[in-house]
Amino acid sequence: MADQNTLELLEDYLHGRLGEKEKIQLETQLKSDGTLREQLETLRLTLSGIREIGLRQEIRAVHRDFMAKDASASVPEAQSVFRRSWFRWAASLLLILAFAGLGMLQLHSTKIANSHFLEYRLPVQRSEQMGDSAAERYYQAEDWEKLLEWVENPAVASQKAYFLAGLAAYKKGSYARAIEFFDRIRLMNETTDKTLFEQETDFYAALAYLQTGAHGRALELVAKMRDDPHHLYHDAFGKWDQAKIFLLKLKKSR
Amino acid sequence: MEFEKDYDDGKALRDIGLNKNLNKPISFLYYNYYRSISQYIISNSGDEFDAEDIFQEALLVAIKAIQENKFRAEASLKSYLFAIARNLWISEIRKRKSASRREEIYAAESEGATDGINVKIARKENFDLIAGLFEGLGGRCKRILLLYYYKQYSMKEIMVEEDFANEQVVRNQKYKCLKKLIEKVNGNPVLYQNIKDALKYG
Repeated sequence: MADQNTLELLEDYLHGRLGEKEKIQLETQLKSDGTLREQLETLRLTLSGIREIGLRQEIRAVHRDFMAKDASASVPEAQSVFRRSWFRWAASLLLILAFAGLGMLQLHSTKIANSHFLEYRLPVQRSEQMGDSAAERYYQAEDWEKLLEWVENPAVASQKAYFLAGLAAYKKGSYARAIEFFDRIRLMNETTDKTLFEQETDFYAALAYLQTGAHGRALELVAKMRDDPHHLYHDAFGKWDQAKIFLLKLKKSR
Repeated sequence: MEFEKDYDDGKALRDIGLNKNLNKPISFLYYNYYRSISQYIISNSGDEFDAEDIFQEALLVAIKAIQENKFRAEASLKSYLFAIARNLWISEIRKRKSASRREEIYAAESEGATDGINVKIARKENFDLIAGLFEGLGGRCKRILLLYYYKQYSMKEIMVEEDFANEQVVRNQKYKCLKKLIEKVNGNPVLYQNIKDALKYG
C-alpha cells in the first residue's frame, strides 16, 4: 500500500498536475517498478469508480425527481393524432372509461400505501453487532432524526442499519430518501455474501414507490411478492390492489 | 425543474464539460429527450423499466464521453444520446438469451445503422465491485471522497462542509478514507486479477 506522499504523487500524475521534470522522473520509475505500476492502476480504477458512483447517484436523483413529478410537465414531441390507428382510439376510449372509474373511486397511490402500511416490529432478540443495537434503540424510541443522523456517521454499513434508516425516512415522509436506503440494501445484498432484509425491503420499498408516484416500480415489487407464495409479504397486497396500481401506472404514462 | 428560456443543448454541453452542478444539464436532458428515447425502447420489445435503465445508462456514457472530449460537435446531442441508447439496447437484447426471433431480426437490421458510432459500453463488473466496497465505508468517508473526487470541492470547502478544524486534517482524513478503499480493492481477488490483466494487456 502506497504511503500518503506516493499516493498524492500518483494522483497528481493522473490529474496532469506534475511539472515536466517530476513527470519524467516518475515515468522512468514506473518503467522499472512493477509495484508502483500496480499502485497507479489500482488508484486509477478506484478514482474512476468513485466518480462513477457520484455520477450515478446524481442521475438517479434526477430520475426520481423526474418520475415523481407529473411527466406531462415535459414537452412531448409533436405527434399527429391522425397517425393513430382505430385500434389506438378504441384503447384510449377504454382507458378513459377506466380512469373515469378511477376518479369515482378517488383512487390515489398514497392511499393504497397508507392503507397497506404495517408497523415493523423488531424481533425480541437483540443484534449481536454493536452498531445494529444502537439503530434498534433509536428505532424503538421512534427517534427518526437521531437514527438518520447516526446511520450516516460511523462505519455502520449493514443491511439492518439501512433498513431501519429507510423506515425512519419513510416515517418522516422522506420517501425518496427511504428508497435510497432500500437501494443500498439491494446493492449490499448483491455484492456481499449475506442476503438480508430482502423481503422486508421489497414490501417497504413498494410502499415508498407508491408514495412517490413511481407506480411502475411499485407494481414490479408487488408482483414479485404475490408471485412468490413463500414471500413474507405474499398476502400483503391482493389482486385488486395490483390491478389498481396497474391502472394508476397506465394513467400516469399517458 | 425550471430552465432559463435560452438554456439549450449547447449550454448543457458546456455545463457537462465544466463538471460542476450536473443536476441542471441532466434534468434538461431528461425533460427533453426521455420521452422519445423511452418510446423507442418500448416500441422495440422493451418495457418501461428497460427504458428507465437504458436512458440512465445512456446518460452516463454520454456524460463521460463529453467530459473526455470524445463527443464530436457536428452531431446533435439528441442524436448522440439516441445512438448510445440504441446501441445499449441492442446489446441488452443480445444478452437476453430468451430473445425472440423478431428481436434478433431487429438487432441484425439495426447493426448496420449503428456502425461507425463509437459507443463505449462500460464494463460494469469492476464498477459494481467497487461500488459494493465503497458502500462498506463509513458515511463520513463516503461523503469526503465524493465531495473531493466527484463534486471537485477544495480541501477548504470540505473543511467548511464537514466541520473540520483545518485543511490539513481534511487532507489526512481524505488519505485515510482513500487508503481504506484501496485496501479493500486490493483485497478483492477479482479486482486484483483485473488490475493485473489491465497492466499485462495494456
